[in-house]
Amino acid sequence: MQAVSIILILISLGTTVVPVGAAVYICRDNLPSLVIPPEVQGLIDGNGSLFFADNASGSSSTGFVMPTFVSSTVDTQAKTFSVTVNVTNFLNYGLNLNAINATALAPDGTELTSIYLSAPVTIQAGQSELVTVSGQWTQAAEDYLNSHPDATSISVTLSNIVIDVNSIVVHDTQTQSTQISRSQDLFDNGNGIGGNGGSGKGQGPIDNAED
Amino acid sequence: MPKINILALAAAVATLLLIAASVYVPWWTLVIGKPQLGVASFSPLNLNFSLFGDAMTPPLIWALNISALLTLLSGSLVLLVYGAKPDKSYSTKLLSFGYKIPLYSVALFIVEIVGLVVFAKVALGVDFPLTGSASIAFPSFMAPAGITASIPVTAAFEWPFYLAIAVLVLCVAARLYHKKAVKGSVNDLPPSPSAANDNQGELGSSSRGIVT
Repeated sequence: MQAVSIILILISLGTTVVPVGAAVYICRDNLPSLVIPPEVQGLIDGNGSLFFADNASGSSSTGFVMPTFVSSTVDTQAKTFSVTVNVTNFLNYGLNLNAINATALAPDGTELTSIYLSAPVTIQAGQSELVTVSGQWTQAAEDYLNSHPDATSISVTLSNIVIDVNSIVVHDTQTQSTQISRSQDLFDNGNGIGGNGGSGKGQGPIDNAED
Repeated sequence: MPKINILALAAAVATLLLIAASVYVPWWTLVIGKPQLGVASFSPLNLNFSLFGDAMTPPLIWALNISALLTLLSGSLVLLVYGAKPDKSYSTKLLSFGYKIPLYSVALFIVEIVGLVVFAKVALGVDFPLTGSASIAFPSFMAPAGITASIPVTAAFEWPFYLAIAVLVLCVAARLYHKKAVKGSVNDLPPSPSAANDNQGELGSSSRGIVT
């Protein structure tokens, strides 16, 4: 009977102590590695291969790639515009860009336009896709531009910014200010925003300078 | 007819099945993001986390998984031995050892899951569901001022957890059935010494009769 008890106690101790002891022995030279996975340790050491794709071009040390402007269109009759940018997914993970919403305000608080993502876009890991953001400006926006004919740039405040990526919804309750230059193609009185009609197509970059 | 504790044998076999299932299927999963961004899989035999499809298991967790597997395995084998011979002198010790292990496993697992949810709520302000889907908000310290973010999560108990509950019930039933199993074997014991003496007396008188 006592032998059985001793055997059972040894089994209990052995099944508990041996595996843990073996792990401690293996990691004896680097005890933090007992609880920190190698992937997380790599991140701490600056190896972002877990998150950042290897084939993302133009990547900085963090892997982030700035979107590049491709084109823009303006429809003065419908009072709509669209801006297409090339977005690179620098992560090692596919992204589903479901929604981008924001409201652009003039310095005096006048609502100039609402901005939204034209259609959901899926960007595979390390790949690039064209993302089109559209907007519709208000009559107040036209009036504002007409009241400032000599201004070379427009100070715009973005508010109620909501971004939905992979169902992760980020809502920025603070306002973001930016300067938009009045390029000839987009803001020409005869052929663009604030004009009498027609639609324009812009190829030049929009100069944005965030505060 | 040899006596066996059929419930203990069933519990032992069910425990072995539970071990085999739990290595591959967790008892509780927490899926973060939609589509899946990360997954936390909880079971006494296989606790692991994955982020962006890459599994991350610290060595200590791996060791604890092995320890739980060996403990459950030893418990099932001990129950198997007991179930085959419940009337031995050492059987009660085997039963006492074997039936408690699944009980401890399930109890510790429930404490672990509930503790995790409570800890996340109290320490991080994050409200994970135990089952079902929810959209949890990032804690304020994780997001810059003025920015709120939320992420969908889905949690569920998987079928091995319910199998573990069934194993637990079988183990407790085997413990309760032990007395009946052992009692049945008492009826098969040889006759008592007093009865044996009566028989010998009859034989002695007849032999004395012969001698005399």
